[in-house]
Amino acid sequence: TASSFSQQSKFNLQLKNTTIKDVFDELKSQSDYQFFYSNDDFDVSRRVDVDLNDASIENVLEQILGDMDVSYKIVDKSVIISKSDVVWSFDQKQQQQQVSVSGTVTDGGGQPLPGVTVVEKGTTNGTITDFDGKYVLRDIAATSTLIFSFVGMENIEMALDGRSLIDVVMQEQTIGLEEVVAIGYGVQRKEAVTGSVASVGGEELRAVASSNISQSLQGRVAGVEMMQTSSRPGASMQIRIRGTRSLTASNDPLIVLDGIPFAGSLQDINPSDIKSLDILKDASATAVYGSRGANGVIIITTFKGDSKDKEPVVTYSGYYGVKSLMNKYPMMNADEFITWREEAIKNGASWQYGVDEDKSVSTDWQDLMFETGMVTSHDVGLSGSTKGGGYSFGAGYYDETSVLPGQEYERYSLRANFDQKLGERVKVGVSSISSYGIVTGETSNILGTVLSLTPITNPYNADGSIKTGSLAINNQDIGLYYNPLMVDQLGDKWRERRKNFASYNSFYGEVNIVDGLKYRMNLGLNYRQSNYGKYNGAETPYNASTISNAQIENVLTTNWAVENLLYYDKTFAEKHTLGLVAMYSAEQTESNTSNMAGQDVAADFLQYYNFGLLSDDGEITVDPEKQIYYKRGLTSAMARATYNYDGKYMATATVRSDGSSVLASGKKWHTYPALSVGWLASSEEFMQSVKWLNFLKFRVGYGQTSNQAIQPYQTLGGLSTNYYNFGSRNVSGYYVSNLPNYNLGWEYSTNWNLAMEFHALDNRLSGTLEYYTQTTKDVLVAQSLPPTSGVTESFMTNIGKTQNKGVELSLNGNVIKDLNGWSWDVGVNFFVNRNKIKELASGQQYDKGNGWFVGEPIDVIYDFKKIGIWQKGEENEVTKYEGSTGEVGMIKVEYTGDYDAQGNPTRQIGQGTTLEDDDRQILGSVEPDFQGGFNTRVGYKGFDLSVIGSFKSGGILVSALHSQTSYLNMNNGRRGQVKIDYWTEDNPTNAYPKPYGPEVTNNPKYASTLSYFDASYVKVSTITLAYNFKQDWLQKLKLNKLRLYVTAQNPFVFGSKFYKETGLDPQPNSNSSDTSTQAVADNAVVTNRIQVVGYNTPATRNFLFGLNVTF
Amino acid sequence: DILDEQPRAEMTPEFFSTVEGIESGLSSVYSQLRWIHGPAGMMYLSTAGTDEATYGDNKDGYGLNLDTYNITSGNDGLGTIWNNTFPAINTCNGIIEKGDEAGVDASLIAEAKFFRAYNYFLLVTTFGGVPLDLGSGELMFNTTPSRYSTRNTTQEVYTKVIFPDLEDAVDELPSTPRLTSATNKIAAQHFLAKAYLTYGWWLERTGETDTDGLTSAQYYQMAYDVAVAAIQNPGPFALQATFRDVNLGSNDYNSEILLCADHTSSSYVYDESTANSWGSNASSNMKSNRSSFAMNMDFELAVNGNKFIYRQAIQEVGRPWRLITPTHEVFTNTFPVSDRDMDTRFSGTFVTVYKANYQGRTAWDGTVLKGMNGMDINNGDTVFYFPPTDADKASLMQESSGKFGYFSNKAYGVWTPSMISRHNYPSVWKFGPYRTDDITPDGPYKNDASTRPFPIAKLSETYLIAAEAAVKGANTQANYTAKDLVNVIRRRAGAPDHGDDMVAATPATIDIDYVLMERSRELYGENLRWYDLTRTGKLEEYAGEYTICETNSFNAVTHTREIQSYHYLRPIPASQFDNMDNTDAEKEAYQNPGY
Repeated sequence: TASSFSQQSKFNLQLKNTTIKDVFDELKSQSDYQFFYSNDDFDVSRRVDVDLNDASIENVLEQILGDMDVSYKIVDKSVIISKSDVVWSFDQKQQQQQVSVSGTVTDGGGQPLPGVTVVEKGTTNGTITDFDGKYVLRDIAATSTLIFSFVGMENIEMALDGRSLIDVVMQEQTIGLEEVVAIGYGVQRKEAVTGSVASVGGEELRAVASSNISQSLQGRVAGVEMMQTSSRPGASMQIRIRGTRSLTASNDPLIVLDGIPFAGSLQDINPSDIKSLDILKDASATAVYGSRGANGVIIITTFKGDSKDKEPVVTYSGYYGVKSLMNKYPMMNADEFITWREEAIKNGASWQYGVDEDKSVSTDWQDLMFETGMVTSHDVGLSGSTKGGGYSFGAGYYDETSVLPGQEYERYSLRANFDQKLGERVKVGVSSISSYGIVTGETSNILGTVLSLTPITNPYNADGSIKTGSLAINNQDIGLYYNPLMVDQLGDKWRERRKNFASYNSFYGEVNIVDGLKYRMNLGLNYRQSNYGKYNGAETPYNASTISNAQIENVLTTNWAVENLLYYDKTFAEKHTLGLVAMYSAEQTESNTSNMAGQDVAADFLQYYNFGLLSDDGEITVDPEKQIYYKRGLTSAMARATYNYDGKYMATATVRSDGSSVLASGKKWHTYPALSVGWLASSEEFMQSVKWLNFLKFRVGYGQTSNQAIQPYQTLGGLSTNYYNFGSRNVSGYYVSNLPNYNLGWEYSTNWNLAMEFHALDNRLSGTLEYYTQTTKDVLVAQSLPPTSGVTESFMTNIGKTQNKGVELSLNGNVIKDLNGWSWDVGVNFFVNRNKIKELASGQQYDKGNGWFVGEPIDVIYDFKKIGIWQKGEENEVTKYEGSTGEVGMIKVEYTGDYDAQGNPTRQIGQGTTLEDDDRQILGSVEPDFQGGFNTRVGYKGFDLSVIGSFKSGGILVSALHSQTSYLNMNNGRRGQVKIDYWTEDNPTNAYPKPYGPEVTNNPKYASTLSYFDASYVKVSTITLAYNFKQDWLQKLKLNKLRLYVTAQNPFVFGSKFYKETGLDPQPNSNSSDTSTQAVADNAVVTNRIQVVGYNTPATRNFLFGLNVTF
Repeated sequence: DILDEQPRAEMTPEFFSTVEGIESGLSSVYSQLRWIHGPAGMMYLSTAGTDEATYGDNKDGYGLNLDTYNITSGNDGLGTIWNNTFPAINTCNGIIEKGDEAGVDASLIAEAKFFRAYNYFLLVTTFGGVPLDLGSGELMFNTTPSRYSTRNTTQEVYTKVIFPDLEDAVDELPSTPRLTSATNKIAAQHFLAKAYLTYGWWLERTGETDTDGLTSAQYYQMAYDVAVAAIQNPGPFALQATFRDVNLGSNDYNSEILLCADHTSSSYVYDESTANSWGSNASSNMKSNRSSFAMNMDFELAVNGNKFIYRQAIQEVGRPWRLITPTHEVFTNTFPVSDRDMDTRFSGTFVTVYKANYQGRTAWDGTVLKGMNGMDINNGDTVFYFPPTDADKASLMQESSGKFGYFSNKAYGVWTPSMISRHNYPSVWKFGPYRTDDITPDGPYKNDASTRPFPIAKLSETYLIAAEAAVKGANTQANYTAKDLVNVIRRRAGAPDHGDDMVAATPATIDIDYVLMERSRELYGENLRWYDLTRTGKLEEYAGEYTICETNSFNAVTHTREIQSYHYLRPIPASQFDNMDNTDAEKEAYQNPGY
């Protein structure tokens, strides 16, 4: 009998700090007992101590389950554990209308799963699957539902619905305490990690359909900010982890792809190939990567084959979507424009009506130009195993067009991973990602023409055909703008295309020397070729010149890396677990860019394909500034020790030395340490009574990092080229434009990180709270020199100090868990980063040339402060401040100087030379007060609905559209005009100045002050509704998994004043150095570090339909 | 070793210690001239804001502020000189410092001395005293990044650099330039004389003492002696036979031009311009010669609804862009109508008759267009005309949109002198483009900047410098009195038939005012006027008032410019202070008084 059997088994157990699950495994190994339980009923990963000799199974169970709210029953060789309030059907012996059911349980890879608990819901009727994954359950109610549970797998509930055969496929649980995270040169159980590491699963990333994972990451991880540098298809994003720290050196994080520092562009990586992504945020975590990791590290792990002897699995995922314009640019319509120009003329503007203009015409250029774009993606994957090895292959295609003609991004990608054991001790593997991307129209911007044309310009001839010449949009601008409707007829007259071919490859070999000691070598070999060509035929909307021009550029970048690693792992005296890693590595990157431009190509069809075929007056230009060669190397040694005592106390210590080629001789090497410790408080005895808290961990990290991410050859100085002709003799000239710095050295950061992680309320609420400080000194700065130095460009130096402080909070809640088929999860993250310049060069309080001020954030707006518009009646006042050219109706800015006895200003505005008498002032930072993201998922049976979004509060948004370099806010009736509430005598607004007031180079004086908006917004970026087909349907289709979904992207924007006024996406769409989008805000005011709204491809709302299948 | 660096696509400063490096360094110094002579920035700084011109209706904001003397340190125009002279000076420092050792010919080093002095002269006359130490020590090649700057005095700039460098250049440069457009002994004498003269005036006007203990009278004498020496031994240089020849496109590089900022139509790269190059902003980094459109009026105006004149790369047409406008006084005082029969300089400076070219376009469909009064206008027929006097003004009708007047029996439009506006005025012919490769109306180069050299110094001005020194009391040689010198220029201006008339009309006594007016007639618009007026202390007197009509208005208004004594120097631009680590007190002291 059961009891006699159980009484016969006696156990000897001495286990310390062991999970309940491991105790069960130990019991299983000592006996024939099987354990049935649901993961939901109690925490099997809880750690317990067992010290029993010659004990019965009941003794053991009492000891390990004693204080938990569970009861157990021993039936035959099965131990069934469940919540105490369950009524055991064994005891009641109630027999109703009974049926039998059987089936097979397999895992996602099609392998049978033995030992799965199968229980009739609400009862303790149950069994477990045998070695072949088969089960039979007799005498259960015909109306019942079966629950399948297995450690590490998601529970499955399945109603009988009259069936007697039920096969199920169980999927691995993706979250939970047993999760493993990549920490660089190794993995660690999440609960043992002591640095700041955030993990995002591949599935989460793919919840946002995009070409580039940085788009998917937006708003997903606290402390990680993504900004688009352009809204065009195929453009890259700017990634900042915990803010900006360096003033001139790169602030981009390191990407590590399958273990090797990634030498390419993120857009070369297909999001579908990513299994998981881990982000190392603090210095104690990034220390293993040394100077490469100074700005944080993003570790990307692609899908690998599984060596667990699985059947091949084929997956397909794909979607197709349409992209439609979110909102048009806010331009004046014909009536508004006529009123506007008349007002400008009245105020003295010389811009009269042009021959293509007619006051009776009303053209909405944007309606004529914007079309519907599309996006589509298709990926096929294959994974499986060989004897002692595994493989995974993938192929992908992505294509995206824009709402503007001539913009497209296409990508073909291939991936292969193969791992193989050779005997008992040796393991080798290769990983390869190749990608071929084609970007069309990356700089050609027809929007400049579309928006500059006036709404009273007629694009059509009297016979209805499209005017093909230039359009005179006033009496003077002739030959500047060609009809943008010509764009579809250009044929060979226009082409702009960049082709990127990249191949990233790594190889490793691993040898187990003795138990616990392992040697590993990583080899990386990477190649990226970029081929760019642009051709502009004469007299098109892209090129108003009468002369054609062409350009080609080829960039070849190669990179190699070698890493030698020794690993040693050992547990001493049971409680002391030690892990050691030592590494020696070297890497080198070489890059060469060749660029050539030509004018006056002999025939349009030649485009940029033969610069030898120019017309007689044509000319080839090889601009020396655009021919680039560099080679940079880094040699490093690193050691890391991880120590864990009793599962409660853990520490990680790292030391790394880097030698960099780009720094001055004698300053090339630097060594820095990092240390972090953690305490798993919830494992302490005294915490066991706190039932609502399942997990509590504290960690503290300290580390130094350094940065050397500057361009090579900065220590050497440089010459620039100019040209001259002595009569007919053409000559080149050289002059010193960069001064050498023989003392250029490392930039150092010191980081502190404090964090708390918790799981509470039955693990349904989890969260992480972190606080950090980073102080960066000897900051690498391109310091500009006064013109009197005689040297035009800045020199690279180490000066000053910056600081970042921040708080990050992530919360994940499981609000509804499996209630009548419903489930609801909510995740939110919230972060604040405060950055500040603590010091510049000794004693220097500000550097206006670069826009840096001690005590202020790095990216501030330093400009005049608009306080309104000079109003009627202030005619005398305005001339006191503005001199004789001041007029009412112009922008009124704040005067910060002194007043004389009569109360008159002692000087005009803008005359100062020092910070005190310069009326420009710090208007604020582009950094928000706080920002974050949210996501939620509601599931009901096979359906799930998820919503993902992000938000930002505070900070300044720069709209170059409204700025002084924009041709859209010229304020003089010359060209198409942004719709604004402008000043007239009858409309004494304080918002925008009068048409044609005092100007600086064609724009209103102080026009830059019109470009600042509050950057706050809440944006829902993605809403997805999906249906996962039921197991039994799939069975009939011979599929393992089928998911269909529809997604809406960018459906809503709230809480943005900018959006309210202009209808434009409050997320910047251009870098402020981008001339093609007229985003070049005044460089003295808005540095090119800042992302701004220019007239780039507008934001779209997208609707996608997608499908994921697993065979 | 992977930690060693070897650049391969860029040059490092070591190149500057080789002969090739030094020679190319010298070429770069010439190239720097293009920042200053040709672009609009210098035209605003030197021609607008004087009696020669005011702003046009396409003006830039900074140009307006320069013209109205509403100048702050943030004015973009200031960088034209401030930002572009020091790099040339530094390169010259390098050539002078390293040239001997590298084995460079002494005459090349003398060219560097010439340009170091030339750039300092431009600086000192614009801003007053400026730094001689750029970071590595006084007059040393700067290899030390320093953000600290100290100004030297005006006296130091003259006596430590300008005079010694130019004196050396006079001694060491050949009279015949090494290459077309290269500097030479005569140009060095020209600028040395001008520098002595200017410094003499400065000592006299300010009452300051010379560090070398010389008097202003001694400097006037030195100026006279050097200038006359150049006139007497001009090497290959000589005055042209007629005034028109001096500025005629086909006669560029003529013997009268001592120094120019050269340009070429053979290559956009070597011309440092682009096709279609527009833009007038001094800070927009353009080195192309835009003088051809800065003072070119709107000839594209429709007449009877038709456009007769298309942009064309010839001297009479060019490309219109009204940044700067001659004042009414130019047509009444400077070039009096009464003199125009004998003095060819008016017609050799301005375009007063605009002729149709539309039939030369490749796109012309053969239709003959009608002008005012329904009259045909064929190629070569007058489209616009500026009569010399207001005699016919009363009989003019106004065109429907009020842009010009016309006669009841003529096809063309008319502006009489008092109708000259910021939009329509006689364009400056001297600066018009000249090309030989394709001059079709509406042709491929219609919007390009001028590819002609922009004159910096002419032998005619050397005569006027000598004359001015003589007026200021220098002892003159026989046949080289102020009047003799002026008459050489006037006789040539009257050529071919009126040389004697011109000499006869010269007043018995030449005073400074006469020299100044003669300078304007001879050298109108050539980036000199503001410097002439500040040198002689006549800025308020000459530039204080001017008359112009606004756009589309025939109402002549006399404007007043509020010129103060501090306006004799320009403010040090803000970009200097923005990049200086000096204390705030030092910065305050660094700025010129009044700003």
